[in-house]
Amino acid sequence: MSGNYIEIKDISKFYPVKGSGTLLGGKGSRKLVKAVNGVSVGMAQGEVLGVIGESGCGKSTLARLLTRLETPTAGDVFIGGVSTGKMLEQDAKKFYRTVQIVFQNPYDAFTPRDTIEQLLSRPLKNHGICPDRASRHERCAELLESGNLRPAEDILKRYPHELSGGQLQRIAILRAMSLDPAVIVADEPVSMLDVSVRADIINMLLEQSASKKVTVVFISHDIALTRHVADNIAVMYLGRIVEYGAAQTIIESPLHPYTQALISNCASIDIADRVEPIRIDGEPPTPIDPGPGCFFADRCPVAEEICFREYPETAARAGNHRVACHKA
Amino acid sequence: MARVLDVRNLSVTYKNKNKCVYAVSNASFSIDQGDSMGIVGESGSGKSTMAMALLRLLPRKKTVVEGEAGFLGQDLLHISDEQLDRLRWKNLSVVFQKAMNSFSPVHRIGDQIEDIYRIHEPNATRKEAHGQAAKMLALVNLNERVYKLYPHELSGGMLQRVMIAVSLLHEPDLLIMDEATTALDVVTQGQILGELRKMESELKTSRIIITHDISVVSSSCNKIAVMYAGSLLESGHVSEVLARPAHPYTKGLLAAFPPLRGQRVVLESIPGYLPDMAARHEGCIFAARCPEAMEKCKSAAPARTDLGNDHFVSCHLIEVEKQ
Repeated sequence: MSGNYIEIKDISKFYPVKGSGTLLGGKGSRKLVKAVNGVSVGMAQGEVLGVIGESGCGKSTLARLLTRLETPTAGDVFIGGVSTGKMLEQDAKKFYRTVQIVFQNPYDAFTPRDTIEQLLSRPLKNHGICPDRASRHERCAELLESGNLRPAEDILKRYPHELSGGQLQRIAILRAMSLDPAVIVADEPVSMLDVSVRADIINMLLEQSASKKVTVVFISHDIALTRHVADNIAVMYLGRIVEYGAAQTIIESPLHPYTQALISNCASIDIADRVEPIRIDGEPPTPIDPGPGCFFADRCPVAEEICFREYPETAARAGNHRVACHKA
Repeated sequence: MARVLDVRNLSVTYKNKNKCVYAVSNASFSIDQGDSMGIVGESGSGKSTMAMALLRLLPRKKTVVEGEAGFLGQDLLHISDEQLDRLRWKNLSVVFQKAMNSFSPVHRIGDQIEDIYRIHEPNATRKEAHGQAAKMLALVNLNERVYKLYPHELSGGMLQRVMIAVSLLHEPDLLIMDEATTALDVVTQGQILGELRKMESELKTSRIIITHDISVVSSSCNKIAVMYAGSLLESGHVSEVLARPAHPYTKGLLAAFPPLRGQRVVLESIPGYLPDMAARHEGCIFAARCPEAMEKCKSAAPARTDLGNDHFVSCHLIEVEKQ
């Protein structure tokens, strides 16, 4: 694992629960929401890592931690052996150039009062990539062309509301790419978009990242799409990674009962491919005090006594496949 | 099999001072007892408008609804309000995408369910209402405990499931779900769809499910209708339409969906944009984006061609093939 270009090490984010604890401080009794709880995963340069899980499992918090929109409670991320925490302290600009994010909603990602040219050239100016206006203009036009947004000159003059969601999302990706980052975190980048334009966005993201050897963290609840995009997939449940492995392995031979249930319930467009969904009862428990045992134990169809007692160790399987389950 | 719903030439036009938007034009389809039809289309394709028109929920002053919708021997679009009230909930019920927001925050869930039950069963005892509600809550995988809770004590997904349970209270002949499971988690959605399928075979209800996700249709419906910019382009049995799509738009949509298993394929988009719905279109509505468009497609609207076995498609290419 140490040979990885990007190394997420035991990263955690706990939020205090409002109203818990006593009136006079009493810090010890304060309850915590463990949104992300000791996540470790490595990525090679140019790899696409898919993160899947239900809503509330901490996928988006993980995205915000990677980009340092949230400060982790514990743990750190290393890029090429350098701690991002240190990088941020020493040279914040350098960090923001290294890690970029693409958000879910392209309509909210741009200032409505700026033209596309202003929006695209601001990062180039701030990071000193293109010092003068003429070169910035040229670079912006090039960027749009490379993302198949034509005619570039015309689009540069427009405002965000004059473009479609698909076009805006492509611009969001191009803007993130324009700084030549090492990592791009894409948090549900196509879930707001129509099916017929999704493919273009996905293909563009993959092309751009492949040509520049950018590592992508692709966060989505769409399992079929994640399998299509990702090299490796991490399955999250209540702030922890319960299973990790090559995309094909995770989809076709999942080991963790949660992954099995998740995938069996995932509808496929192939009518010949009918799997009887595995039923899991109950609601996901809250991430406040999820208990000493495996977090999934209450809902797990194969849980035994030990599952309620201790949280399972993460065990390595064939290849890079890892699973945290007593029974797998 | 008995016909439950027979929609013929349904058109919906939104009107305001200076323009008309042709949201649905000439849609025809039918649903038999026990059928489950998925209506798929992108945003702006008019699928929700169509459902709202069938339920007569569109503002009367601003919309013009034309056509017929035969439902259990009555025409939904032309019966009086009183007659319609008798059908609502009882024979025809609907769940919307954000249905969870329609609960009253100051009444217990159980009281609200009982109120709805009493509309059609005014003499029902508390016990009867409770029994029926408990049965339906179990169907959507909810604990009976929610009966005594207030809406704010449940998560959005749970409220949505309560709403689905409420819509089933009177075991309606037709249930319309407008993106009702879209906001739910994969696991919950899969379970609810499974339960609905089981229930349909027992109670002989029919269902229309409106969604943008073809995989939901393929796993839970037996019929599919594909809408684009207000027109119904193709309809038929799921097994046939998905295996042998006839319309270029259906083919395009399927190519844009990644399969869950098997070989990874290259995803393809459909280039171009939705046409301006405020203008009348002479030719085929999809012609501007169609990769196989001919001269004819731009000038004349294609007729609805019957390919047999309830498979209908509106495309000139098919007409040519048939001749």
